[in-house]
Amino acid sequence: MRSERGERSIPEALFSALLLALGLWAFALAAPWPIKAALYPRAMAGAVVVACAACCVLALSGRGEKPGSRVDLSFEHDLPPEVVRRRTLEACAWVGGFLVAGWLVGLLPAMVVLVLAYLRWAGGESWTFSLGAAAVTWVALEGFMVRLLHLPIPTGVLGVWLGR
Amino acid sequence: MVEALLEGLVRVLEPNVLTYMLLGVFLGFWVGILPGLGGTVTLALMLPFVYGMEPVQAFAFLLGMHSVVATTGDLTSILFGIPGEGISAALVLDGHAMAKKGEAGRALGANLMSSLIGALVGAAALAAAIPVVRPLVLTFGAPELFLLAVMGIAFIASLSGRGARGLARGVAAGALGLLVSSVGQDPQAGILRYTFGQLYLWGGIDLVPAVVGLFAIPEILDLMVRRTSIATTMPAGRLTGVWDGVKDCFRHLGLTLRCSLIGTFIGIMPGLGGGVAQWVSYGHAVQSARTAEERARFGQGDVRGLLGPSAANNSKEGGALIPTVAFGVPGSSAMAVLLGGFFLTGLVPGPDMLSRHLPVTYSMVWTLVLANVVTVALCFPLLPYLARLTTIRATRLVPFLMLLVFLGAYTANNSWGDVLAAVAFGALGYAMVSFGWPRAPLVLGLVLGDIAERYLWISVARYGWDWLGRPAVVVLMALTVAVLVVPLLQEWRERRSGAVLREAAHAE
Repeated sequence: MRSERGERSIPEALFSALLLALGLWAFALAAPWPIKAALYPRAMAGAVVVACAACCVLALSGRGEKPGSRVDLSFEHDLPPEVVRRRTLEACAWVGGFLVAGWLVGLLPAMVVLVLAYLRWAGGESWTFSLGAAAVTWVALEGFMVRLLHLPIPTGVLGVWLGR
Repeated sequence: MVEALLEGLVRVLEPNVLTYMLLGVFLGFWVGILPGLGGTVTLALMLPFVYGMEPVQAFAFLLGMHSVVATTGDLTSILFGIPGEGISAALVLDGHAMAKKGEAGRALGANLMSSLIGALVGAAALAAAIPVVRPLVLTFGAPELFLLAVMGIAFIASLSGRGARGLARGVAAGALGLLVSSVGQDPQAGILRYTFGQLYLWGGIDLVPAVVGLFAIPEILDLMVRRTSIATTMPAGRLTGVWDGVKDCFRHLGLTLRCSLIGTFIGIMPGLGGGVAQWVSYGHAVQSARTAEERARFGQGDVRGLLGPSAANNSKEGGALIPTVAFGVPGSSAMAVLLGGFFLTGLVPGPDMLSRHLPVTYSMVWTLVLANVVTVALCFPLLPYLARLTTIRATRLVPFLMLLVFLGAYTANNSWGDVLAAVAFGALGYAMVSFGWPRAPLVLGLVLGDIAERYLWISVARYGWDWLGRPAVVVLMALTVAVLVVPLLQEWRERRSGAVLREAAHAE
């Protein structure tokens, strides 16, 4: 998945092509708008298309990059690719699971469940530690978000279905 | 003038005023650490409490709270790669990279000292500039502010990677950020752009979930894959490096001061704000590298990439107060809320603040100074404990980091849409990191999009196309082109001289 610097990268070319298509779509969507509203997004969509086309060509040709020029985070570890892939999917599943739990039971309970479940099953912590951490999380969130700041916390669809 | 300055100090040092300031500092400390719950929101929440306070007490409380948010917001950026504030995102690049290398102490020491220097420069600028700032602000009209925004994007795009491929990625990311910023109701014609029938998108994409998602989610996913602590190497025993970080700040004092001045200047310009100041100063720090090898160290944990944004984040507060106090023109959204504090305490910004209420104005200067000194003094003893957090194993840290991310995204607008937006930007950020695309230009595009569009339309409506001929506009356009073209020319020359040398070696 990761591109080698100074080498051809089909995945990066595909990523650039995807953003290029997004730029074209944005440009097309702006077509029926009056010029006042359309000028800026059209100009920016045009810039996205041109720059992404250049990225796509350069990624396919493997030219135009200096080694060691990246000014950002890079994912570098010594793990086998299949382990990285499996753990990445697991990580995405945790995020997805949290979103589903939040939608079902509400944001605050989902956060507490996340802490408990992740510590117990992904972290392999003891039940005592996991339950203790979840309880502290509950007290902190309830005290800070609900009691102190009076933030409107959504209850989740289960709460709505049960008439709460 | 000197009398007013001293009177301002005496009034800030009164026990009840000092107590309000310390209360503000305490609140600001925790608000800064929590991602999403920004300084502006907290100022708005606390505004009703200043009813009945004396003006000096009210500003000691509000400014004390607001001025430390920038400092403590940096801490989570450095330690966990989660920006505590939108204005702390630039610190993730080098600050968090240092923490991963086991240099959290050095990074935090450098951050605190440069934040303090930045705050002092900003306060000094506020004290010195009030009588002379009017002509400067009036020189920069909408066309110049639009070009400043464009130059900001070009600047950060050109510094996001060397070579044509790096430049193309930077420009593409910046343009994408500008395009995404156009989501929502158009300010000129009221047309709904790219909202797809979703009420959430009417107001546009909020910066907080975007920044938190782009920067924090890829870090957390990486941590979940690695399953090690954030710092893979950390010296056992006492935390070391804090004083090295402080010394780094003085070793690169010129850079710290220059970035402080950049922050102050951007703070003065209405509407640009801290999001811009941090990236421009980061760009300046990268550009200060003398060689290509030196420049390649940025993003991998170069302390200079940390010093610049830290200083600018804090100095911009003093700068932003200048137009707020002098003309009632808020330099940022936080200053707009603070303006409410003026009216609640019976003050009217403008000439009165420079004559009749001059001691109150100077009390703001002293509050900025004292609040930052107190914050730094309080933070130093806490650093060993904060840096230890980077040695906790990932499986214990991850659920709390995820909680901070989702809580931060949610509290931006109390909306589920923001949580989903954070996840979407997290996926985009993950892909960008995987393919070596820089995230900084995208964030800057998001920050500057509204500003760029607004000033472009004001320019066109006010001047037609004549604004393109204004001298300052021409200079800024030339600078923008130079920022993009010069690195490519330099590279071409390097390649050519390399080819000539190789040919000469062949001939011999």
